Amino acid sequence: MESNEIHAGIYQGEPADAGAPVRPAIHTTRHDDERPPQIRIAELFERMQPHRQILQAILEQCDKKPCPFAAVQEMVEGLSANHRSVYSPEGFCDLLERAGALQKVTDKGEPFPEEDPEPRVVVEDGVEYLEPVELPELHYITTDDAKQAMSSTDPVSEVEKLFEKDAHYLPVYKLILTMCAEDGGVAMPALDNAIVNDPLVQSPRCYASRFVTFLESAGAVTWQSSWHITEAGLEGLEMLRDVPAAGM
Amino acid sequence: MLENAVVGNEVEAPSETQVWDLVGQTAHRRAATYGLLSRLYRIEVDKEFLQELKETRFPAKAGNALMDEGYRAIGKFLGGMTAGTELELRRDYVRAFIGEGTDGKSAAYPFESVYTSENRLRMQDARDEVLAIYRSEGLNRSVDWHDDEDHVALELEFMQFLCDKLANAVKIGDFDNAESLLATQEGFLTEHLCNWVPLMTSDMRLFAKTTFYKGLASLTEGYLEMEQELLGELLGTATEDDKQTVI
Amino acid sequence: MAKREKVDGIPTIAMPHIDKLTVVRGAAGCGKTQRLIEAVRSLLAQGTPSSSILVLCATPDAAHAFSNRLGTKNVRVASTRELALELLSQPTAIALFGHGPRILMPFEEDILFEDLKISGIEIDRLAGMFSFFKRSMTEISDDHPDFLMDDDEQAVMSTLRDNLQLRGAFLEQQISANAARYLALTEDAAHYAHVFVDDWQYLSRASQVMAELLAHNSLYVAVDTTAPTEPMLESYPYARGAEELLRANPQAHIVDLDKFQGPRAIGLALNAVRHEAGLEPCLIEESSNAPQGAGSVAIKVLSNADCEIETTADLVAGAIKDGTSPEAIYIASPNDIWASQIAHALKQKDIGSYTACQWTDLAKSTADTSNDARYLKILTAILLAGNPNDDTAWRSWCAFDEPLAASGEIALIAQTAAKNGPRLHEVLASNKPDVMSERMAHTYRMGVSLLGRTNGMTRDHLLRTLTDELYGPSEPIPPMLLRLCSGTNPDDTAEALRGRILNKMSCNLGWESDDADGSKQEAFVRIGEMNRMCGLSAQLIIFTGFVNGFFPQHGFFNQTITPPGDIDNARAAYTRKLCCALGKATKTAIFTSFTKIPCSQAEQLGVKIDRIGLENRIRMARVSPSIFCDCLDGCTTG
Repeated sequence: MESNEIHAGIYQGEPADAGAPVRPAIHTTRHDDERPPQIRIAELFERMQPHRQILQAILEQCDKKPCPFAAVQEMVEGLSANHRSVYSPEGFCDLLERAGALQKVTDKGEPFPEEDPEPRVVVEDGVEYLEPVELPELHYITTDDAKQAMSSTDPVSEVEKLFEKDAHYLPVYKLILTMCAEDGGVAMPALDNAIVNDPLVQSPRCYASRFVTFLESAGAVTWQSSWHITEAGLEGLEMLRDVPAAGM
Repeated sequence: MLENAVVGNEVEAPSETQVWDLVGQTAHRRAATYGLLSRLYRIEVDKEFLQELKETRFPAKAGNALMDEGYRAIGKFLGGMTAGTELELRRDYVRAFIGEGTDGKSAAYPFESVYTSENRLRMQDARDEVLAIYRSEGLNRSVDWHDDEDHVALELEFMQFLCDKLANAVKIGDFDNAESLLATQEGFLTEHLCNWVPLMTSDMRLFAKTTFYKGLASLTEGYLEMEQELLGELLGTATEDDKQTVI
Repeated sequence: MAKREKVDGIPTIAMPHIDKLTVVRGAAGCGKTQRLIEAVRSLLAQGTPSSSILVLCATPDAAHAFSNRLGTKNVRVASTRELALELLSQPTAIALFGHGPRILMPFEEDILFEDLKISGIEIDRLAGMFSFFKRSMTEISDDHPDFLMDDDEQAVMSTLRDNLQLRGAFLEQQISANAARYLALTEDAAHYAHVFVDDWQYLSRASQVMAELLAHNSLYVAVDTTAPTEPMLESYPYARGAEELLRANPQAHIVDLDKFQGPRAIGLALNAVRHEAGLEPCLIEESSNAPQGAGSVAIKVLSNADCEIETTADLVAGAIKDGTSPEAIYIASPNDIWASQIAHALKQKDIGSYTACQWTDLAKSTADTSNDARYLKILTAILLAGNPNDDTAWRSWCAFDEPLAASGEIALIAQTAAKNGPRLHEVLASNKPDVMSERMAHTYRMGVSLLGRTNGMTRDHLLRTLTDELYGPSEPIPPMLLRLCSGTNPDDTAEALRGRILNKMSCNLGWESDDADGSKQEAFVRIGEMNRMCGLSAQLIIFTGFVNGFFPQHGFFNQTITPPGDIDNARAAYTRKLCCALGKATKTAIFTSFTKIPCSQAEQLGVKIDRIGLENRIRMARVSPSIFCDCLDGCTTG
């Protein structure tokens, strides 16, 4: 019998008084990543390889001057027309902002207000009312850290790295890139048919999607209702000029 | 205006008709506020409603500190609206009222039974009681409503319904019925809404993330406080403290 | 009368044939105890020497009350526990068992259990075995050759016996059993021509056998067949005992008492409660003929808990003012916290009270909330200061601060002791490195050094010094320790202190008051749970806190604890408990309850909450009076 005190439990508007257990408040602030932006940006691009093209496109659009979010939204939606992604344009911008690649600004390039504005008081017939105040239109601008990170990134080098790592399959890559370079691009079934009997993909058994995934991550191909070669892909194809294509 | 009528007691007592006129007029406003609150709890805020809210003017001085705090918080939130606000509010609605845990203590569950039963269960005595009260006024839950009858949205809507009925009764001069409706409202407020909603709003402040729903918590709690004072004053059941607060 | 038999060479105790057996049966208040008293008086009146008469009761309080009612101090009246301890303290008993009747306290039992874990058996199974062994000890079935089922059980039992032998102690459950064995093996251990036993149903089987063995000419037993089966002083009451006694002695004279001897109003209330539970009613006298008059029953429902406690205190004050003496008032409280609230309220009105307690609660491992068992260390040090040869205390001393309580080392020592016979303290003093580690040797030396520093100290000085050494300088003496030492004198030696503490633990059921020197013992109201009324009666009984969640307890309303199929049985058990207590009222019974209590208090106390609501910003729980009020309602007299 430790204590015979009974605590009154006066409800004072605290959640614990209401019966809910006291829990730490849900985080309302972003998790502050203390690492330098360069590292965060590189990590973001590394982790979001399938979305590199969109991320890069946003940074390019917001590079020279503040770009209204609406424009960024339109551009991203256009690029995503054939991609079903869980990331919304706001989501992409939010990720880039957290990585330190984008900054929220006004149309004049001034820092965007961090807090919601207090409503203004208007008087009508002697009665005071609260009216929500409009925030300035949201703009984004690419940060210097992002510009630096982009300049040090060479899309072609990603393709080169891929060819180095996966050198055994260079003929297959050459065939796929060649087919993607055709007008109208190429569909996956056609790529599959093209490589299905090639000895290189028999053991271990590989399919076209494996190679296309790697090429897309390296930025060599892109999906636009069918698979198309990119500029980086063309340069990659040039690197493979002396390699016999699969099936030959 | 009601304040003037009461303060004016020393000079000239308002006539019964004047008082009832005032009651009728305030009944409409009260119905609107109950309706707004009910809607905000019933489902998430959609794009159209969000725009409506943005274009709404809220009283700067509602006569209750919590209400003022609530309106200000909501107004501030609406001022900071972006394209992602609707999604943010939908998420916060789930966070606040549905939660993510299974321990019965992970959200501000908007059911009277949860807050008034020992084990925080739904469908307890409170639900049976309010259902009986609804039915006594000729109401039943609509076929579109798939939740318990002691949901805060329904209880607030019930008060809205009674306000509309009160306004109508005053309009046609049925003051006996009007008084009976006031008594029903006061009873429902005291025995039900005020008995548990402050506990729910306290939880809302814990679980909601946006100032919108936190503001809604303050607004709701403050409004019910004010309602209790008003009805107490009208029915003559207010204590001295309550009267002073009203005046 | 007793037969000591051998089954396959193992001594066992057969149920003795009793020359003259009388069994008085009846519910509470039907006059069983009075019959016993009259029978004793009749014997005395016939010239029977008082020294040949023994009266046994279930608890020390019951024994005290019986003795007072009997009106003579010449007849030995004792609780079964007291008598068993007395028997085991005889030199021949000590020689037989190898040690005196030192009973393990709860925390010492926990250390013993730690030592049993050496067996490697999974904990839950081991705990189940331990419970089984203890129960079997109270039924003396551990003598039977087929008692143990498999090798594991035999191994654990062997380890248990070795460890108990090493400690020179018994488990509580062994006391009466060993007393009975002693009586069976020693022809001239104790002589009583006539043995009277009250509340046979509360005795363990071992105590029942002990009583039978003590009775040489006649055994007169009172049994309440409707009483709840719940532990009083002994942890395993043997409810079947009366039935077995009658079966073994078909010639027994049976007296069935079915007429309630108390006030009519109380009888009507009892019958109303019994009727609800489907139990047989008692016969009730008409008011004019009722031995104790009409009596009265009342139910008071107060608005909130504070009000109810205040009202209870007012009722007591009012009764005392009207001439009821405080010791004739019993407040049946649902739990300790409520009891202390009532005691506090009574104190505000200058009314002293005794609150029921169980001393063993102060010797549980859970009672010590410090991480390093400081309180239990001080307690152990006191025991050692009083007797440096207390092996149980040395075992505890060596367990503190040790990982796994040093059970491995103790197992080794126990084996050595079993072979060669040295006691634990002798082994520790020998400091042999092949038997004990340097760590244990160091712990022992620290203990010896502490004893040396406190040698010859009297109570206050001893407690202060031990607290300084083991808690820290200028730390207050632990309140629980002061409670354990209550009733001693400032200049008592360590030996006296030890004796007092062990006596309290052995008899367990105690009473505490704020009155430091106990000078006003007789003028105090008693506050305790219903079952503490065993053997007692009171002019006024106030059943305070009579709400759902207290009575019945919360588990009754929880379907996961009391499934629907068990409700009737559970209700019957509560009914028996209530009737047992209500039947002790010789004049008035009042039931007090409340309907509101702050939610946090309700949750803390375990009251059943019907509804929660806000009142003046406090979460208030609405509570209902006990379900038993429904049937009592019709019996109130205003």
